[in-house]
Amino acid sequence: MMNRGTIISIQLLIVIGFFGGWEFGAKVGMINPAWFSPPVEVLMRLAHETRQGTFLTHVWATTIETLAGFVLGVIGGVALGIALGMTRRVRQILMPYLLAIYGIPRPALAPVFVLWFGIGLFSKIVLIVSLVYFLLLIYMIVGIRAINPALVSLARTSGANQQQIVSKIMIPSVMPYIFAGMKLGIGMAIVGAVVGEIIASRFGLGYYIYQAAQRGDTQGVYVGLTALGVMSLVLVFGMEWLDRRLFHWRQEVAL
Amino acid sequence: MALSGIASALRRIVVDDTTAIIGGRILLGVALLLLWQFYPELFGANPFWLSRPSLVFAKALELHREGILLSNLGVTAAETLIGLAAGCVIGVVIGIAVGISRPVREIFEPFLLVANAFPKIAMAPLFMVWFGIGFLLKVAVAFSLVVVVMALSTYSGMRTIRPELVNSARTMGASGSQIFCKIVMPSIMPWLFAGLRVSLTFALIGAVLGEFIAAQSGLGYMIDGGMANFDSELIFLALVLLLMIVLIANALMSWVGRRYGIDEDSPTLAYNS
Repeated sequence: MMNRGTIISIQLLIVIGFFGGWEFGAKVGMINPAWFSPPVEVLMRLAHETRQGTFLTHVWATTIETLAGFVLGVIGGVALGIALGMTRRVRQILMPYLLAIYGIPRPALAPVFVLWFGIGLFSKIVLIVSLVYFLLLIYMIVGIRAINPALVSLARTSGANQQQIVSKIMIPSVMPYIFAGMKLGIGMAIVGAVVGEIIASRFGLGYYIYQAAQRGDTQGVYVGLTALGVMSLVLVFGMEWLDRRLFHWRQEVAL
Repeated sequence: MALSGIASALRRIVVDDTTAIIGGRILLGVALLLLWQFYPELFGANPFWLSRPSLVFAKALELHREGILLSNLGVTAAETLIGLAAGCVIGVVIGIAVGISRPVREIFEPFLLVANAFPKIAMAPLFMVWFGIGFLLKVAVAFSLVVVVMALSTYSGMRTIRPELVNSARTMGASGSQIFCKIVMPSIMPWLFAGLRVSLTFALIGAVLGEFIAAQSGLGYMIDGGMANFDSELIFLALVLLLMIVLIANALMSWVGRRYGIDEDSPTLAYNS
């Protein structure tokens, strides 16, 4: 059994060894910098770019698209999920269609949304909503079905009113499912934003990365990927952290 | 008498759960198809926006006559399958390697989680720099999505293996390969299967997105070309084909899962593309 300190130092060593080897290999000419830009130069260029306004505009564009699409998708999915969770027959009829829609590779819809809504912010937000919405909807339906009916009857016989049943039993049992959906959804939202920006855009990190690749500016590609990586790690692990903090008492929920 | 018989039959049709559900599903499907076909007349909308089934079908026949329908399908299928196969092999090897023992697991797990959280799809332009704009680009994009899913699902399966089982097998003199075949593989099988299910769709998404970036053929090329030329029939034909591939592949996987008794519902994970 290793203690935490040992593990973290080995992990740090691996990271340092990886990037150090990369940097060294590029410097001595073992690694072609046209394919793998040396990390130090990438970081310096990133620092330089952030001091200029345009790069931050790209970061902001991607962040705003991601968050706006995510929030709208979550609200919509949860709302329709509640409606469908309460009407059994309608849900049973709709279910195969919902699963079919869920099965469509939705990043492939990006060009359709561009055709319908243009190349601006809106078409990306629609794409992200289409990804997050159905995910949350399905998690919500499963969450509502997982409410323990015995708990509800027990509460009712003990004299709880409808409002108490909703606030004390239904919401607490459904919340972990919503959060499980949100944990997956935030990653999907970032993917949606990036795909939308690569397909057709004038802003955003996806656009920045794609433009750099087209110019043959490998360093620019790595700069964009680094910024995007930091952004996704913050968002994804932020959701993870929030989920663990709020629902540490519950077992992990997965579909 | 006859009347009450009809009434009870009617009641059965209306009340009986399965009849109502299946009937409702078929009715809804037909209604949706009719709506798709006739929405321009019904709402005065421009048929350009969603195309229509008849136009999509005509487009399919037209492409088939030109001999490019099946070749487009074949190109995307080849990219998907090669990316899928390579991603599965490498991913499973990584997953087994990371899950092999507790210290290794504790050291490498964060790397897997970071790889899962990173939007791999953004690396597509980098693959363009590395591999050019040909076949390899699409395979690489499909591979990059699949490899992380398979590594993570294999790893999750490895974590469920009970160490007592391995220890007692070892005490009784089982060799390394016996432990692998009799304990490790059966334990991680459902996880591999669940990962494969997700990977199929991911590989297809990867191939199509690779084609968005640069291509001369394939379903993604049809969609992208349709966008550039405002040819909505072409886009919707490609989307219908994509959906059909996904549905058929999922049905096939479910059948295999049932046929070989792999419990496909138990393990599921949160993957990012």
